Amino acid sequence: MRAFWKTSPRLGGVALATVVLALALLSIRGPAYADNNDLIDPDDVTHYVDRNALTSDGNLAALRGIAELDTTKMNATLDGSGDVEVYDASYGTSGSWNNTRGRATCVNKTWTGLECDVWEVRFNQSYLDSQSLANWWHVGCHEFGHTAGISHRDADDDTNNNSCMRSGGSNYFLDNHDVAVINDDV
Amino acid sequence: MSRRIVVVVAVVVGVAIVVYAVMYLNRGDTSSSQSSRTFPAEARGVAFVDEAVIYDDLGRMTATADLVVRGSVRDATAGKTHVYPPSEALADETDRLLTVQVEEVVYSDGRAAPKAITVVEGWWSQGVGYAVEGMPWIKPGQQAYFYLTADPGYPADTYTYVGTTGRVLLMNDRAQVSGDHHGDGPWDGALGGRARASGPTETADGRHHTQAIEGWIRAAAVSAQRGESKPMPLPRITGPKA
Repeated sequence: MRAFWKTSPRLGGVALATVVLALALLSIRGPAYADNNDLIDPDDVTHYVDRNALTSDGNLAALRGIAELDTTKMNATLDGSGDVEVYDASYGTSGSWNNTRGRATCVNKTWTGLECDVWEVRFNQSYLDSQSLANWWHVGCHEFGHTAGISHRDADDDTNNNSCMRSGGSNYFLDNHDVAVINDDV
Repeated sequence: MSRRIVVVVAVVVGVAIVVYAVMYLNRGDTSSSQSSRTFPAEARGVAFVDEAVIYDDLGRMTATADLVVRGSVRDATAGKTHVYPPSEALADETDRLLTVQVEEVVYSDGRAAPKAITVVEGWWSQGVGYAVEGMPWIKPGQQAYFYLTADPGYPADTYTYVGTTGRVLLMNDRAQVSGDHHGDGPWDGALGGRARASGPTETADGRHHTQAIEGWIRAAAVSAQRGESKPMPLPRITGPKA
């Protein structure tokens, strides 16, 4: 039997294109680290946010995060559920909670693995309960920023120190750079 | 059956296999039903954090640590499983524990030099491994420098990282530092409160030359031992630590 791509070039072309497409899909899994646009992206522009028995400070932190995302093309809203689950508790300082005030975890990726369907945001009261409300707001803004697909800013790329994406700070706003990155991404 | 139909069927089957392979390799990460004691070989889950203490000076990160060692991972096992109240609807999380054979104590706060230690690194939940800030799980047989603090949730000689920047993975002539820092982390040139022009420089692949970074590590340890590099002030902790 002759090779099918010789007897039917069209079918051969389809098969080749399929293989190339598959390889291309596989090759784009890793993010680049050139900017703070290097996290897994949300699967759509709407974040339905659930607040799960939050303390008053945790609630204010979640609202701070929602408000900041709403300055971008993202639509973060309490009118629905299932995209961002927010919790707070004293998670302690053991293991991965050591030195961690807040954490955003993608707990359900889309089938492609390239986007995040469900995020879990947690505020660690073990650290935050002894800190000011500005720190809660900072962590709310920071973790919700992660859910929109942006990573950290540092002194060398946030010289005026006005981004909540600086880890460990108390600033509670996304700056123009963060907003532009999110808008470019979603 | 004509040859043409055979070819079409073969192509369709081939396409289906390729599509299935792509979907399998890129599949979502939360569908596993593995028990909490059975853990994956690598971390495919992603987590990002806001840290209480940010280290921008290797000398100060060293001075803050209880213990800095170079060691090799002997094995990885299951640690504590954290179970959350049903009202929180959170899945259980199990710590990943490394047994590390200590080859050199680079810095310590005065405690006796251990021959082996346990290090908590990462966790898994519903069969999915998680790493913080892109820090890949270190594997048995691999060698690293570990910047550690005693873990309050475990017996003595169990430690956790001082922060996300607390590991240097050694890979022959290259070393990979952990954590998300772009230009002002502990691996970017400040030591003892001063920026040094001769800090370790990244190679094109985002790693460092092992020899250069080891020199930097030892200089920071000397600075911390002499008291030139001061520990970072730690935040007050409320409630139980473990």
